[in-house]
Amino acid sequence: MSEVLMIDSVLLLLVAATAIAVVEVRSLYAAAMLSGIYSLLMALVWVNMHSMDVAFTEAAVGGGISTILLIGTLVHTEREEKKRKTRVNWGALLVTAMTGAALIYGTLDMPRFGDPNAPIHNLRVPEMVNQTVGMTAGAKGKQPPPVGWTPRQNLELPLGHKQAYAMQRAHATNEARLKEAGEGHGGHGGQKADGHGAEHEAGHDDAHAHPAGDFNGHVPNTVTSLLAAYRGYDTMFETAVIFTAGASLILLLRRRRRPGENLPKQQSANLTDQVILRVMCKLFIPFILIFGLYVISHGEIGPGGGFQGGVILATAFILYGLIFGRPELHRVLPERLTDILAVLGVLLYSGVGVFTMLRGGKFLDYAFLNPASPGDGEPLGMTLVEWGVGITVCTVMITIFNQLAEEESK
Amino acid sequence: MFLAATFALLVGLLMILVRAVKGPTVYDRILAVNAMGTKTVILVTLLGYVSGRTEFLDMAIVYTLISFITTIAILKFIQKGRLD
Repeated sequence: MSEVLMIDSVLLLLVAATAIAVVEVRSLYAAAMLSGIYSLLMALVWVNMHSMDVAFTEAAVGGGISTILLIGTLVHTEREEKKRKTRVNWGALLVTAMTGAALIYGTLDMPRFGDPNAPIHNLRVPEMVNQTVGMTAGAKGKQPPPVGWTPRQNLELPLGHKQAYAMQRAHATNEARLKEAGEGHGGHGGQKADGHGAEHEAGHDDAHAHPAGDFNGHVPNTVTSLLAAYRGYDTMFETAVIFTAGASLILLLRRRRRPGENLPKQQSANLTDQVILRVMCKLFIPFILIFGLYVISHGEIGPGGGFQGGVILATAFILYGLIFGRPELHRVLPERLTDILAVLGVLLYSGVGVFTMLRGGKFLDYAFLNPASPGDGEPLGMTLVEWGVGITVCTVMITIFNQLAEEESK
Repeated sequence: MFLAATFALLVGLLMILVRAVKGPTVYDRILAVNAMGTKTVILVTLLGYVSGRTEFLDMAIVYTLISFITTIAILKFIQKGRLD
């Protein structure tokens, strides 16, 4: 048993114990806090699996905001779960057990945990991990594929594709190493120039089709590449879902105020009498904001992206609202502004898609953003799209906090 | 050695979890959540050091920056009974 597996099993046991405790515990306070612990443990599981982007989301959402929002719901509900006598529903238990068994049966077909022959390790991903974007040696645009890369057309996928591809790759790597040893680095420059010429001759449309040798089509962070390009539509609608959540909370919980009427000052419960909190909050907020901005704009290169960065930004504003009271938060960030920004974020995302359509491409076909160098389209488009996601997520989270924390007039 | 440290931290996590589940008062649980956050930061950094990936530090920074806000929110709710 490897160390990773041992750590994983201990962590998963702790996760299961926490999950049972969340369901069992009567006090809703305790349940909220235990769910915070649950997400910390889950983040550790993701970290142990090296899935940094997921761990990042779990850290940003679970570590910061979700517990605050759960406490916010406690403002509107009771603090203890009502005791109810329930009988075991045998039919439901049977259906649940059967569903679980079917799911476990389904996992038997999946590659084993850490299997080096799993398709994820062999198909395309190694090349995507190794690629560079934007500039190498000061030259913008298309770059040569990494050493050892074979075009996909040569694959005979149906016939034992895993082994075939692995063998092909190993073979090609050896060949390329020999070639590289013979030619040195001079060969690379020539190859690049050739690639440029061929692309221009092939014409506009072929250049956008992500030709087999095109490694600038995808950004270094494979996860972001999958989220924002391969399944960019899904991510767009996920953003729309978050926007809808914010909009419905506004519809359900926002009190109608007459124009000009503001929250009365004396109603807010601020913590400004706590010196440590006040000073530390002022010291921390700039760093949280900078880190959030870094996570959003760095999403296509490192772990993170719009969702995570947006949540981190929102956490900074929520901290400000917690310490200085919500009227002060409203002064810094008026409700009207967050509402408009939430809409603008979704519009920015879909606007990029419409823009590429106007340029003659498909919806969200980033290569059409800048026809002069289609290879740079994806990093550029993704940065824009991540900003759209980030703005919407940040403002919607602040809106949700605002609406949940707002004390109902009794 | 790093493996030993990791497992020591895992034992620590287990003990914190016991306190969080049993914890007679709400303050025990708050302390448990807080300690859990600290342990997570260290464990993430350790795992990152063992596997030699610098991205792990980003995650540790996220935790250090934002996990204390939860504690503040809970304490404020206990003291004032509201969040706004």
